[in-house]
Parts: sequence; structure tokens; C-alpha cells
Amino acid sequence: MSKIIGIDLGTTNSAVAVVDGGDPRILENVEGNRTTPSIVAISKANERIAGLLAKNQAVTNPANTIFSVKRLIGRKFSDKEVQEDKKWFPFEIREAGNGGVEIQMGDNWHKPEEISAMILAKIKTDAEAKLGMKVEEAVITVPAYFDDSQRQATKNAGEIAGLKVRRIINEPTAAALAYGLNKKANEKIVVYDFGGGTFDVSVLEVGDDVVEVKATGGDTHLGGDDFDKRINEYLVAEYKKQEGIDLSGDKLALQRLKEAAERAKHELSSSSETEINIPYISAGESGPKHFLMKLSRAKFEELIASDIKRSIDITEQVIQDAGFSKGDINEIVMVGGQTRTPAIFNAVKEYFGKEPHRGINPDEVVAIGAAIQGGILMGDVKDVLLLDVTPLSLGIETMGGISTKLIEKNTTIPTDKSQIFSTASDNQTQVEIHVLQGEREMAADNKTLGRFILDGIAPASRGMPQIEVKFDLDANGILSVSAKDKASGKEQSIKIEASTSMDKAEVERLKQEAAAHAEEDKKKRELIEAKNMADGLVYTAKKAVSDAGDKLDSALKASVEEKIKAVEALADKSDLDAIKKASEELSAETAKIGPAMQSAKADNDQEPSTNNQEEENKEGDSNSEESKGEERGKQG
Amino acid sequence: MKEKDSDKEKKPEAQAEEYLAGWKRAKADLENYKKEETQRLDSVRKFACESLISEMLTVLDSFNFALTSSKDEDTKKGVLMIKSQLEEALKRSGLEKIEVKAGDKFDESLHEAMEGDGDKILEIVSEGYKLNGKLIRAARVRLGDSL
Repeated sequence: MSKIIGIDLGTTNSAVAVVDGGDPRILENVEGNRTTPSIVAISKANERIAGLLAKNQAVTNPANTIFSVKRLIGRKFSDKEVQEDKKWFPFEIREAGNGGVEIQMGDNWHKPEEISAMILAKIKTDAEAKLGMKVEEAVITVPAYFDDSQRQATKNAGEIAGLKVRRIINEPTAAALAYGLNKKANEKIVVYDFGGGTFDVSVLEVGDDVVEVKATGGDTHLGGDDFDKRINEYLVAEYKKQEGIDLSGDKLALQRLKEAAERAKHELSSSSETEINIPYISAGESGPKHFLMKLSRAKFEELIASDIKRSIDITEQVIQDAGFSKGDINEIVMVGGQTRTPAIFNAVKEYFGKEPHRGINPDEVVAIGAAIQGGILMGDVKDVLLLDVTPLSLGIETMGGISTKLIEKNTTIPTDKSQIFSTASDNQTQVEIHVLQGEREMAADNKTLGRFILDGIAPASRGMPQIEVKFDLDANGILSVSAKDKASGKEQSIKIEASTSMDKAEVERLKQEAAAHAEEDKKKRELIEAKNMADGLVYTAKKAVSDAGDKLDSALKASVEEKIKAVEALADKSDLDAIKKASEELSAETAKIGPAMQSAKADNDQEPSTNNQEEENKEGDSNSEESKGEERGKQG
Repeated sequence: MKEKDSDKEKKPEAQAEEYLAGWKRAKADLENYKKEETQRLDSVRKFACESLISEMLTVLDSFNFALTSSKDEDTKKGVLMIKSQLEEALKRSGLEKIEVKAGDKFDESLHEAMEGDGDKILEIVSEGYKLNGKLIRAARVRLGDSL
């Protein structure tokens, strides 16, 4: 089945997202960017181009480069807004036969929806390339203040682009959806959207899963671009004061200044002062001139204070229009890149006396919300399939009473895990599988779900038998545990019905208990693991000594035996550091046996059994490593 | 009666279909996710340094300004060498300069027009760059009809 994409068709930039595997994500365009400029052009080579390419040639081809078409879509030519915008558009617009607007691009006149369709077509093609599949359906967002005609025209634009528009939704609603606020019945939400070129504020009310727009307002010509402009003007004025040079006529200098101002704005979001450093900004009579100035956050905030105040005044008015007071508002959602500016965030926070939502990238939150709406429309099947997670970890008891987890808590089920364990003593013919549930490190502190014995293991040295323990947790929380001796093929299993059916309070209690004991449990576990390790080393060392027999140098033999005693003496103590130290010493001493035997071999080439010796030593080493995961066994 | 029976028989079948479809979809989702994850990791590896390199472009620009404004040949040579050190370092991370010279035809997929009319490049205002094949900054150019 094809996916339904969510498109935020913006005035300056657009973004597209899709729900994949239950989570929404932004789709990058072919240029590798997460947003696409909402610009279309007929290039000088007479090709139709959209997005970044259209933007790149805008300066040289202004009459045929169409931007901000969202300001025209679905409007009448006689509308006040259209007449206002007409004054500054570098391209030609005229009245259409039906009273709407027509835009000249190349030799043809286009309706605004045709221009929007060209942007949507690029978005569609890029999304298809990214997803590797055809995209036929979309959810498109529009400002909450769009009237029927503007909505219909946007929908038509989608259809012209070859998209079945499943739904047109409001931008603030999409933002609320992205934060999951549609589920909060009877809440009042303010969506504060400060973009690059426009400012919108909406008041929403959530009723039984329906989001209603109670009031909207804003300023279609107030945005972050104004901030950049203000920083720019300030810097130019300051430079003139300090250096006596007017940069306002130098296009290249202004361009470099603009980029530096934008960077400064971003930097001031996180630091309180930034340095604007532009070497060789102009060439004076006395040589090159540089631009070096510090800009503090306080100064920046002073520059934009009136814009911020204006946005708060508008917000206040819109809340009033909705018939509420600011105390009625339950949630505030921040949209648009400029809301990253701390001064804006703080002004909104201070006004409402509440923390606004801002976890999702404010440039992408509307597209994310649109994708979620698409996911809801697409996902009838998925709704049925609610996957559960196992609330507590599942495992078995291993050597020294440790609880070894096979399935960690919060694993999505169904799932299965298996691990190889071994025996703890020589010639052990059976092991007990003790199935545990819980987060504690020690088996005794966890809940026993069941236990069974696997017998008939062929007698062998400890650590040699391979016993595969498999946990299979099905979608209903039924746990099957099996243990299989790989050598004999013997298998035993148990089925435990109620592994997940525990009430929430119980699960919570167990989790808290585990957290409370985490530190001491960890210490206990470390100690036992060290003891297991020491035990394994003693075993290996004794084996090496006895295998070497009287060929071993008596001094080395005595020293190894001494170290063995030292470790064994600590077996009942709980001094972790002492055990670790004694173990290390024993390990180092045991390691000398191999080389000693080898040099003995070199001394006497006639000795036939040395080769065997070496191999057995190697086995001994791997044995001690494996002993960490050894199954606590009961001797038969 | 018969009709009812067949209805009853159909129901579990339809349900089984639905489950199978859901299962297939889940499997497919996982497979696709894995493929995408590989691609994503690949692009993360390639472009992790993109923002750092983008900032370094400003430094490269400044070197160019220094070179064009400097009159002292000795200093000029030193600066040129430092610049090429930086360029080499960035090249090793996958940065590639866009080859463009005055007289070339304007191409919006590689160049950004700063001013002027026409489709001939008169002057390169600042160099453009690609990082591992992705355009991270178009070459800024001044345009005209003829040189």
C-alpha cells in the first residue's frame, strides 16, 4: 500500500514528512535538504525549475521567478492583500476572468494553484525518490485563517500535482497533533507560529477527538527576516560610526554581513555574546578594512523587542477574540524557527506563566503533524495491531545465585532470545533451569516463574558442555523456556502462562524496588562474579599443574600452589579488591606454566607429550573465560 | 441456512487474510527500515561534518579576500600556502570545489546569481563547493550577456 505523505506548504519554505513504522519523519529532497524553498521559475534556458534551483537564479531572472504564491492562492485580484503585495512582487500579476489572480511566468499566465502545484510536484517526486515507492495521496496544511476558496484552491493544487488530497488541515492543528494534544479532551491550546516571513497565532479547543479553531490572528509581514534586517541595519550603522565607511551600497559586503548576522542570531540563542568577524569587508584608500564587532544578546533583544511585544499583543487579542482569558489556556505550542530565540520563548512563557511545548523541531512540526494525520488515515490495519512490551526482565539463575537476563524489560513482544550456558563442576550430568522475572541482580530477590531440570548431560570437564537456553515470549505474554544439551540433543522445556499479566501497581513497585537496591545489588553481583572468576582460575591452575606433572619446575609449581591457596583463603570473604588482586596474581603465575613447559621442550626435543600440554593449556584459558556465564548446576 | 454458514466460514478467512497482510507489512517495514538505516548511517558518516565544513568555507573565503587585497608578495605566498593546507584537509573529508571561470554559462544547479542580467558569468564572487557529491554552497556569480 502506498504511503500518505504530510506536506507543510509554506510561504517561503515547504517540508514533507511521512509516518514509517509508526513514527513520523521528515523526508529530505533530492538536494539533501529538509526544507524546499517554495519558489518556481522558468529559467533563461526556458526550463521549469522549482525549489533551491529556482532560488539560485532568482536575482538574474526576477520577472520569471515566482515566490510567496501562498499569499495569492484562492484570493480575488481585488483583495486588499493582493493589491498590497502586488506593489513589491517583481513578477507580473493580473485579474483572471473569474476575478481571481493570474501570474505571468515565461510567456504564459498561470493560476496560483498551478504554481503551487509545481512546488508540490517537486515535493512529490523527491518524496518518491526518498521512499523508493510511488506516492499518490497527501495531507496538506493551510493557515487556520484560510477561507473555503483558499482551501479549495490548495486542494486543487495538490490534484494538479497528481496527488489525491485526503485532507486539508490547519497548520496549528497539525502542530498540536504532532505533540499528541488531540487526545487531551476539553483543553484549550494556543499555537504561536513565528516563521521567517509571517506570524500566526491560533486558539484551538479540543473536544471529543475533534480540534476546533476558536480564533486566529497574526501579521502576514512579520517574521524572522525582520530580525535579520534589524541586525544588519544596526551593524551597518555602527560600522559607519566607527570606521566612517558606508557599506549599504556594497552588495557583496552586504551579502557577507547578512550571512554573519544570521549566524550571530543563531549563536545568540545559546550564548550571551557573539563576535562578528568579517575580514577584508571593504578596501579603503589606506588599505583593506575589516569588520570586527561584538554583539550581545541584550543588544539583539533590544533590537527586536518591539517585534516581540507586537506578537504578544496580537496573541492577547486572539485569546480575547476566542472568548477566553490567558488563564484558560492549558497548552502552548511553539512553531517556526524564530521561536528558538530565547527572548521570544521567554516572552511567551512569561505571558502565560507556563512552559510552552518545544520538543519537536519548530521548522518541521507542522509537516510532522500532517504526516501523523496521514498515518491515521492510512493506518486502519495498524490500529488493530497494538504491540505490547514485557514490563519486567526475564532470565535464569546462574552460578553464585546471579540473575542473568535473557529478555530485557520493555522489549516489544513477540520476541525470542537464546544463549549458551555450561556446567559449573566436572562431570556434572544435570542442570537446573530456574526461570526468573524482575530487575534485581540476585536470583533470590526476583520472582520465580518456574523451574525444571535438564539431565543426561554426558560427563565432561566443567565449562565443556554446551547448553542452549531459549526464551520465547509470544504476543499474549506466554513464555516458553527450553534447554538443550548440544552434545546429546536432549531437551527439556516449560511453558509459563502469566509472564506479563501483572497489574501495573505491582510492576511499578518491583521497578522501584530494583532502582532502590541498584547500587548494593550491583556490588553483590560484582563480588560473586569475581568469586566465580577466581573459582575458574583455581580450577584451571590446578588442572595445569596436575597435567604438567613432574615435568614442571618445582619452584614454579610451589609458587602457583601458593597463589592458589591465597585465592582459596578468600573464598568466604567478601573483600572484592583482595579477591581481584589474588586472582590476578594467580592468573599471572599460571600463565608462566605454558612458556616454562615450552622451554623445557626446547631443552629436550625428544619429549613427545609437550605438544599436547600446550593445547590443554589453551583449553584451560578459554575455560576460565566461559565460567562467567556458567549455569549454576546441581551435581547429579 | 447455507448462506449463513458460508458467511461464518468466510469471516475467519478474512480475518486470517488481514492478519497475514499485517504480518507481511510488519516484516516489510522492518526490512525497509534496515535498508534505510544502512543508507542513513552511510549519509551520517558522509555528512556528519557538513556544518563544520560549511563554517570553514567562510574561512576559505576570507583567505581569498586576503590574497586579493594583499600587496606584500612574501605574506601573500604564506597565506596562499596556509589556504592550500586548509583546502587539502577539507578535500580529504570529501569537499570538492566547483570548477567555474569567467565566461562560463550560468547553471542554477551549480551557481547562485548575485546580480546582473544575462546568462554569462562575468565574475566569481565566491567559490562553490560540493561535499561528497552534495552541493553545500553554490558558486556565487555576477552575470552579464557578454564578457
